[in-house]
Amino acid sequence: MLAEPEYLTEINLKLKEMQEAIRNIGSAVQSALLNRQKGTSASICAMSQTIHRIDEEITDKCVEALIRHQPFAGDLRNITVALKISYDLARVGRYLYNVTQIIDDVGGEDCEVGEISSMLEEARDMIDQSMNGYFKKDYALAENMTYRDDKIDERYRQVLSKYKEMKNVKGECIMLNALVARIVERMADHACYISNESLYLITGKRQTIRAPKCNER
Amino acid sequence: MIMPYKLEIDGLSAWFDQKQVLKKISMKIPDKSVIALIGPSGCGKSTLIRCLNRMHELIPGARVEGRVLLDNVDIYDQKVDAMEVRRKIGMVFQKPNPFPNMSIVDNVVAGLKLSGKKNKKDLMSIAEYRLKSVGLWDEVKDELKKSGASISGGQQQRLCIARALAMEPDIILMDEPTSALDPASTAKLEELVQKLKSEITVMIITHNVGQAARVSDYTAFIYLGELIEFGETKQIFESPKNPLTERYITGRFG
Repeated sequence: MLAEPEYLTEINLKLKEMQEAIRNIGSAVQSALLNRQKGTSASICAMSQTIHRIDEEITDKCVEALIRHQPFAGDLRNITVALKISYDLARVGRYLYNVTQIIDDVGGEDCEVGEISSMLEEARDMIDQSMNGYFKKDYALAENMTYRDDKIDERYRQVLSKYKEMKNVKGECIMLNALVARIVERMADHACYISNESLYLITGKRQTIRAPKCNER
Repeated sequence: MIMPYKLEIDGLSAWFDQKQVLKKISMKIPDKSVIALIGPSGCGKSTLIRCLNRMHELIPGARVEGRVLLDNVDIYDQKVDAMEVRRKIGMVFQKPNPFPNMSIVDNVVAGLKLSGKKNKKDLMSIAEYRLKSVGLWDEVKDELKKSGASISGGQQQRLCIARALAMEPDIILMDEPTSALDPASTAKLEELVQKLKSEITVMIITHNVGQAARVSDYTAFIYLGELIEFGETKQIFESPKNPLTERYITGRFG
């Protein structure tokens, strides 16, 4: 394997910083959801802003690397991939903040949240593993993410079906479960995008996974 | 009959005495395209293009094997005149080499005069047309009688291209044409190379991989006399198939 140029090492250190920040914010949001704890969105927002700031720093570093080093081949792919992954992680930070906003707005103290909490845990692990796949350039790890994303999509549809058909359930519980499940489903999509960027980095072949599948249902 | 390729290099090998410097190079060059040849110093790039217009054979002890087909005719066929090959496949060198004792206009038409064209009006008309096609006319139109060596290095290089174009070649070979030029002159020459491909095929040797990426449609990477990879420039610079190509263009070795 080729030695990594210094500018890519710096960019990857920033991505590791983002991964760590996502772990921390994810853990806090998981706890807020399990406990239906109101009033956490302000602190989570601050953490999400930190992730956005790192995203901007990575963009600056990538632009500087393009100008100063005019990278080609694997190095060029790595720059474009880092830009996209950084954006994906910033989106995930935003989604995690959105979960706490929903808890603040909807409440749902008495609501059942076992399934959406489990889905959130899975999506967090997917993000973490997709980042590990990127750092290790692990083809198998990256390729497996599509399968895991399909499972999350299926679970999201099951949550919607369940609450659509349920009677004698509080409106706030329907809202909490439907909205959080939707956000978690989007988070898992971003894990999938990150893994697909890793696959492009490893193979040099582009996939069009970000485009919507209009007839998937 | 449709000619899919302007130039076909088929199993080309070259030697200087006992030393083999090119090893069975095969490439198919589409018409009206720009091809960049890249590779570390001494890898055989210059020898390759010198084989393409039969200049290699002018060196004592030099020898060539294989075929080079221009429009399906082997330029190494015994019936083919080497001078005619050099008219069809022109060359521009690393350092601009205008004839210093000739005016700008005479530089452009020097080859035509040698080949027997004498009509002054026609020659002037060709000179103006070619100076315009290399973007030099507006810069020199008021000093056409000045020496070809009196203009700047960048202008001299474009003058040499105008001189090559005046012979109406099918292909122009350029051996590091911008290595002695400043950034502004380099930009003008790169722009000219892009323009030229509407008329002819251009093969350009460059050590500047950025330049290869900017100006060419196809890129060939040569290493130790072998063609390691040849393909569309976008593919070579985004996802090279050979790890050696990747190492070279990312600056891991040179």
